[in-house]
Amino acid sequence: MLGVMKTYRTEQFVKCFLLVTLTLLSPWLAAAERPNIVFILADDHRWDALGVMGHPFIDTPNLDRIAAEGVLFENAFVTSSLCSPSRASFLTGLYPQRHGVQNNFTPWDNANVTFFEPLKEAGYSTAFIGKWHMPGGIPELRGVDDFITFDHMGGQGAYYDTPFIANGERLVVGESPLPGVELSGYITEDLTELSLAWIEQHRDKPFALYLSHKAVHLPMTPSSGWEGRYDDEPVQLPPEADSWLAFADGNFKHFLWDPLEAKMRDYAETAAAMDEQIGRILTLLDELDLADNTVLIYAGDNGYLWGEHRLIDKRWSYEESIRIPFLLRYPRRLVEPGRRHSSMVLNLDLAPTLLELAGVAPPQAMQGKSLVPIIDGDDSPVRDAWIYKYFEDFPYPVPDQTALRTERYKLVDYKRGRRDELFDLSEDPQEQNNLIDEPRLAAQVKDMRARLMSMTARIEQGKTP
Amino acid sequence: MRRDSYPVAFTLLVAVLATLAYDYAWRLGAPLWLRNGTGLLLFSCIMLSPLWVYPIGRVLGAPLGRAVRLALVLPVVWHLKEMLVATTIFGLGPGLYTGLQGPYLFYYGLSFGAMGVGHLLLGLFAGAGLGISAWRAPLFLLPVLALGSLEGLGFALFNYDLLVFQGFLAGYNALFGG
Repeated sequence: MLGVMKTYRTEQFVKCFLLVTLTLLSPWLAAAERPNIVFILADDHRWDALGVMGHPFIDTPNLDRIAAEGVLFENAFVTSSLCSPSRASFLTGLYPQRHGVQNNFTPWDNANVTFFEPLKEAGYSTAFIGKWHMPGGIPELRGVDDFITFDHMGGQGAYYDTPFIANGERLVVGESPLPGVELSGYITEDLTELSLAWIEQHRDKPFALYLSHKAVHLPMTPSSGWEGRYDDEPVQLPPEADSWLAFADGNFKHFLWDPLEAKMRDYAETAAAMDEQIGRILTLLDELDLADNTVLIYAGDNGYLWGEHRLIDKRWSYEESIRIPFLLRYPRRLVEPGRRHSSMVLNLDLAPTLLELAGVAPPQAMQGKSLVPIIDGDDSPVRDAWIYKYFEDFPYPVPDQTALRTERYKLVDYKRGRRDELFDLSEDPQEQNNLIDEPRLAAQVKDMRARLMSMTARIEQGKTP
Repeated sequence: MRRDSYPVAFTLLVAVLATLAYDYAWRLGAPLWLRNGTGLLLFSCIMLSPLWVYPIGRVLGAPLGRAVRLALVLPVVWHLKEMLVATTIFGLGPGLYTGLQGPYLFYYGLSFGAMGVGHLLLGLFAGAGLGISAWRAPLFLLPVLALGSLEGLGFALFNYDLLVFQGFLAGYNALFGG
């Protein structure tokens, strides 16, 4: 009897001990399970300017590798094709109508909740390194441990010799925000160096790094090693484009001011130079044995028109402008690496996705949808329609416009200055035939207009449309 | 039509035809070299017409003031076209205000500069017969120098871009509450 009692007590003790130990260790264990996050954002990198997307000459072996080891979202879009609104959507999971950054002049409202805040509360080390470029100056971003950015050239930064601002402290040109990190002066390399050092410093606990490149934005300056590499590559312009398009009509206000083919080569070289630097991030993650448990996402902040519709720049709701590259790698969890997913995903899906992967509940206000089911192998459509919005951005000669994009159709409602448009994307992916006055599609147009209005109203009310 | 108007009338006609070809020839499958050629012709008319309209006008009998006015016809037509397009996008007031943006002002400066080059060439090679002094040619550079100085001083003293974006947009905000 005594022996039985003793055994019982020992069991009870062991159970209690295990319970207490587990309770004490649970935050640490949970944190250890949480994936690291590396989000790399490029500027103006259009969706098809990648080797893996079949571009005729751009070398992007590292982005191609992310696609091969991850999932490539073939139909990824931004809800507003302009740097500042798009960046705010990535951060907040909100449409521009809600986060308030409507163009490059409406200020960032620091009451906005970014994905950094819940991550920080969950124990992550966090950093934003690179281009912030939202109106209203550099905020004190909540949830970010290390905020290394710049406001040089109105926040655009320069490809060479951009002075950094590190956690609010202004540094001089060449001065490194992180001790021991030597800067080359070329911004893509410098942002990479800083990111590498930061990852090394924070490798021991879950980290979330947002690396925000200036590349491949104008003036599209490649690093010296890439300069001129594509000079002999033949460039195929869209049928409606010509070499002088950057000077025509209002296009000169974008200050491209070069024959289109020359600038397209610069763009390609700048993208390849960036890809090379992204390769260094991949290598470091491999070397530190972190790759398996790191969610790595690469995206562009908007697309870029290279003469399609006789336009350059972004802003418009045409496909070349609103489509972005969006690649996600997460070896530990991703089902069927190398997959291509074709349903429509948006920039504002990033934040809820990252939070769900980190085991954190996304704020209710977020309007994006988590892409975790896709990572887990569910290829069901994420949505069947979404709303694009471009707010007037004086003096750029692009009309205020709202569009409803479905899998098959796109309806563009211009505030003024242009006839509304309807395109059947399955028949006319280049959007050359405006069907808005087609009698056989009158009911379709009516339905889409009604849906555009109701979805817009829901977005403005803060609901998920 | 007076003889001295022939150069500008001809240039306007060429510019209109070049515009049609440049904007629409791709729909007819015109080759790239042809479209590039018409584009070059069009931009030359827009950017450089004062270079020949002014001196030829003078040779054909236009006095200084009239030759300058003739040389400004195409720049003004293009500028009005730009503002007209802008009014369809931004509305009447802001659309017209776009016409004050630095690039357009510098464009007029460039137009006067082109006249100055024409004046210089006339003065050097045909000055005696027409009573034109090459020494006056630098006066045509005054508008672009004034604009450049204004913009340069803004940058140098206040790190402020007066004409192209910052000042221009401040004016827009003040006028239209943008």
